[in-house]
Amino acid sequence: MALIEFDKKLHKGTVQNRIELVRISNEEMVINMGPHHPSTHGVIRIVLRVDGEFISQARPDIGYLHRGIEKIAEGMSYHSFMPYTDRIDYLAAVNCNIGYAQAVEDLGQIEVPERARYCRVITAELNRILSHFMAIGPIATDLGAYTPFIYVVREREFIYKMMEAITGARLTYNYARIGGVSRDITDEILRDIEKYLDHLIPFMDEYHRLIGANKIFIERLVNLGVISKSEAMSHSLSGPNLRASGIKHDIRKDDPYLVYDRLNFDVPVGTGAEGTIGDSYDRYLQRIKEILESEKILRQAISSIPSGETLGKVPKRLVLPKGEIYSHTEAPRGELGYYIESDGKSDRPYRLKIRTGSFSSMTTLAVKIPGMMIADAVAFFASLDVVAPEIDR
Amino acid sequence: MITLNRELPDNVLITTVDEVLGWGRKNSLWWLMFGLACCAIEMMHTAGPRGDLERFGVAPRPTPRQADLIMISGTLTYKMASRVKLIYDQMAEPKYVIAMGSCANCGGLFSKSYSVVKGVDQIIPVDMYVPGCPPRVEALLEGLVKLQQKVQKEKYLRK
Amino acid sequence: MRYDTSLLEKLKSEFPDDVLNMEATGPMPHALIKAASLKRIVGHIRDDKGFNMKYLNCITAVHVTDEHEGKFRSLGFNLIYNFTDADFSRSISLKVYIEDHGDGSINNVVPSIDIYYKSANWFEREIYDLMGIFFHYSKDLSRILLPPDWVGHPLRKDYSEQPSYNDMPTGRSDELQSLRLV
Repeated sequence: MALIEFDKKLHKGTVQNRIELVRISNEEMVINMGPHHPSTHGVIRIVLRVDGEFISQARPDIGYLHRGIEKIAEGMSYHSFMPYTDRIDYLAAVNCNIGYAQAVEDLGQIEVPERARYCRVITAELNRILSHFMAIGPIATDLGAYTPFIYVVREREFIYKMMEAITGARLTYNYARIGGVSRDITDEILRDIEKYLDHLIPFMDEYHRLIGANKIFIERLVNLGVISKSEAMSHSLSGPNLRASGIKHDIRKDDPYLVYDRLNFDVPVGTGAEGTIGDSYDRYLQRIKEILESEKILRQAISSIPSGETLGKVPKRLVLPKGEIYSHTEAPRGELGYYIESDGKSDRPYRLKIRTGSFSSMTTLAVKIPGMMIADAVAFFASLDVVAPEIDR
Repeated sequence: MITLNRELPDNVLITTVDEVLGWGRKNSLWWLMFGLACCAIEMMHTAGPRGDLERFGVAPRPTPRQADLIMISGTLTYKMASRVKLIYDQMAEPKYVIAMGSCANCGGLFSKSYSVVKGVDQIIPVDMYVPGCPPRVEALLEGLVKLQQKVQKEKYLRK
Repeated sequence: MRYDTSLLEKLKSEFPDDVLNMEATGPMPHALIKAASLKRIVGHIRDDKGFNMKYLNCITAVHVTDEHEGKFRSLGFNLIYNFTDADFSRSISLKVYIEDHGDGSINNVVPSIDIYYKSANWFEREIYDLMGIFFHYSKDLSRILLPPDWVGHPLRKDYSEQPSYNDMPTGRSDELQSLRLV
C-alpha cells in the first residue's frame, strides 16, 4: 500500500490495523529475543516470528533460572528454609520471607507478638518501595533512556542503608523468623525512615515530571497492550497489573493479614489517565501511586508501633500437625501464595509449592504481543514487571 | 619500574614496554552486561553512583564482541550453560572472567538442587572468584582491582 | 483465603455422584471429586451465578507415597485446584486423586481446564514437567522449566539424578550437600 496510507495507519495506532498489515505479506523470519539481553528482567527467552518489524507470533521460553527450590524444601526443616525464600524474588525479599513465615504459622497455630507484626509491616512496605523503584526505572531504560535508571539506583542506595541497619544485609535479608522477626528496629532507625519519607515525595514528583509527564514517554506507552477486566481475571493476573486493569482487589484489604486492617490506606486502580484503562501507561502510573500509598502506611505504622518482644517461643524442632494450607500475601509483583502440606511426623514439609505473580503475568505475552512492533513488545514486557526467578523458582 | 633520568627534562619518563602495555590494558577493560540472578542487582549498584565502576575505565557493553571482561553473576543452570559457553566463545581474546557470588563459584546454597551447575568453572576458565551472597559493592571492586593487578603483570609480547 | 463451607455443601447437593468426600474442617476445606467430572464441575462453578469463580489462584500436585525404610512406594497423585470468586470474597478448593498403577495408566485420566482459564495451561505444563501427570485435551503440553531433553520428573519422591547432563557432571564434591528426603 502507498507510504502515505501506511503512515496514517501507523499514527492511528490500534492493534487491529497492525494485524491486517501482517496478514498481507508472507516473508517471515524467526528470531530469538534472549535469554541474554541488556535488560534487567532476567534470563527470559521469547521466540518471535516477525514480518519486517511486525510480530506475527510469539512463544515465551522460560526455565533458564529454574533452581528447584520446591524440591530443596522437602529436605530442609522449616526454620532452615528461610534464606531460600529470599531468592524467590530478590527485589522484594522481606515480602517473600513473611509470606512463608505466615503460611507455617497459620498451619501450626503459632502466635506472633504485636511488635513483630509492626516490624514486619514496616520492612515489607520499605521493600515494596524498593521493588517498585526497580519497576519504574527499567521501563525508561527499555525505551532508551539510561539516566532514570541511575536516579532510581541512587534512591535505592538510601533505602539500602536503612535496611542494612535493620537487618544486616543489602539484598537478601532473611529477616522474618517463624514466630516473629530476627532483630528489633531501634528508635534511631525509625527517625531515619521518617526523614527519608520527607525526601521521598518531592523526589517522586520530580521523577514523574521528568519521565511520566514526558510527551515521548506517554506516546510510546499509551494504548499499548490493553488488558481488559475479563482478560485480567482469566489470565490470573494479580498485584499492580490487575489493579491497573480496573479491578479493585488488594489482599491487604480483602483478606487482611498482619496489622493491615488497622491501617488507613486507599487502593488505587487504573483510570485510563491518558489512554484506555489497562494499557502500559496505566501500569506504570499504578506503581507510582502505590509508592505514595506505601508512604502513608509507613508513617502510620511508625507512629503506632507498640513495645514488646520480637520473637515468640517456637521449638527448635518444629513439627506441624498433619494437614495442608494455602496462604497468600500481597507481594509487589502480585499474589504470593505458599501451599504447604505436612505429614505430621517429620520436621520438614512434605510438599511446598510457591505461586508467584510473575508466572501468570507471562501468560499474557503469547496473546498480546502478536500485532505489535518489536520495540513496542519490549515496552509492553517492561510494563508487566516480571523477574526471572519468580517465574522459574 | 619508572625511572627518572636527571639528564632528561622533567616531562620524560623511562619505562619498559611491558609496563606501558599493562597499564594501558588494565585501565580499559570493557565489561559485558551479563546478569543472571540476585548478584546482577549488586553489579548494577556497583555501576551506579555510589560504587561507580566507570572510574576504573570499565565501560558497559551489551554485546560480547566488544567486551573484554565477563562477570558471571548469579546461578548457572543446565539449561543456560550452553548459552554461557556460546557467549564466552564469542568474546575476542584476550578475555577475562570474574565469577561473582557463591552460586557462580561453587553452586552456592543451590548445590543441593538437581538443575544447577556446581560452579561456573565446570564450563569456562575463571580468573577471579569473588565470594559473597551477594558480594558487597566494595568486595566486587576489590576483585576488580586484583584482576587489574593480574593484568598488569601479564607478559603480553613474549610467548 | 476466605473459605466458605456452605459453598462445598451447595456443590455436593448439585453434583451428588461426583463429589466423593467433603473435608470442611482444617485450614483448607476442600471437596474431593472424581477426575472424569472435573471439567464439568469447573465449567459449572465458573459460569453459575451462585459460585461465580472467575479467578484461578493455583493448581498444585502432590505425590502421595508410602515410605518404608527409606524407600518410597508411589501410591498416586493429589491435584489441588484453588478458585476465588469475581468479588474476591469467597474461595473454594477442589481435590482430585488419581491412582498410580505403575504401568503408565495414570495418563489420560485428568482433563485439562485450559478452555475455561487462560492461565491454566502454564500451571498444567509445570505439573507435567515436574511430576509427570499428563493432562488430556490440553492445547499444548510440553516441558516448560527443564530443558526439553531432560530425563525424569524431578519432584517425584522416587526421582534419582542422571550421572551427567550433556557431558557436565552432576555429582557434588561433598556428600552432605545432597538432599536427605527421609
